[in-house]
Amino acid sequence: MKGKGLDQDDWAERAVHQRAGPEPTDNLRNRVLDGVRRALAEPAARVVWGWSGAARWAAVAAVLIVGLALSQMAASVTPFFDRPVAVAPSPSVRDVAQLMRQVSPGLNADEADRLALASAARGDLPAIPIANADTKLPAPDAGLNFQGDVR
Amino acid sequence: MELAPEPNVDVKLLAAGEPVAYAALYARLARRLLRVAGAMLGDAGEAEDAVHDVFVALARGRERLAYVEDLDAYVFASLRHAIAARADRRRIERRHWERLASIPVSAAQSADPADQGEVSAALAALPPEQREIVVMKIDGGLTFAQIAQALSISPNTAASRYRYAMEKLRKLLEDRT
Repeated sequence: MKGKGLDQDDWAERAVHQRAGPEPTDNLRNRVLDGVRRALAEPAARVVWGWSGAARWAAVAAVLIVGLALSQMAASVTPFFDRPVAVAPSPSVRDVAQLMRQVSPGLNADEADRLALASAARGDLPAIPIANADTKLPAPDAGLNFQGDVR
Repeated sequence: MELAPEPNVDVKLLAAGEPVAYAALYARLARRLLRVAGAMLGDAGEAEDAVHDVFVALARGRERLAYVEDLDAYVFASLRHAIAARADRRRIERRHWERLASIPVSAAQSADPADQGEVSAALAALPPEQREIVVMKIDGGLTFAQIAQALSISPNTAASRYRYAMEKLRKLLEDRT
């Protein structure tokens, strides 16, 4: 059994191959073929596509990809996504002037208006009439910077 | 043992439900299937039942046979399912493999007590997944590609599992002698 003179890969395989085992008998043959005949007399089973795990996940992934693609397409053609972004209401020059007079009580109305208008001139606020346009403003070296003064 | 030449089996006739084709398939594979089932179930009667189940299942699902590429691998895969189904019916599904590992091989399977004591017992001592590969290769006469198809594993896995199994079997046989 050990087969020392044989190829090591050979003797074990041959031992397994040559071992005794069950042999098909006539009784088994008759029983099997009877069972086959009965099964053949039944309607044939329909071929059913089985869902393997991989196929199921592939289907889920496909649905997600298609859904994402459709949502992107919808977003590109729907006006809802193209609405202008709402902007905060900007204060008028008058509001700014009033605020300046509140925080700087030394300013008179004309100075506040000029200062507010000068600030607004750099933005897109609409120009508004200034009540006392002839009022003399302090000299530039007095510390005030009237950059953007439109006079 | 001198074996009769295995008859060719026409898959189209099987799919068409020709009894003659099933008789030819039985003549071709019955002995191989029976030996594999015997080694896996450890009981000659259970092995015969499993072979019977395989042929009946093939006849019932005969339309599928038209799509089968490797008939031998397909039939042995069916045998594997039949063996598992038998285990299920005996309410030992959860411990199927453990049970297979511990089943002593029936003495009725061997005419040579000495051979029975050595080879079959050593075979029964293998882990079931290794024993399955060995008997499918040696008793079933399948290639590694066919075994891989029947077990749903890669051919490389089948080959390496077989190599480990044979190494273990060789050692078991050497220890027993």
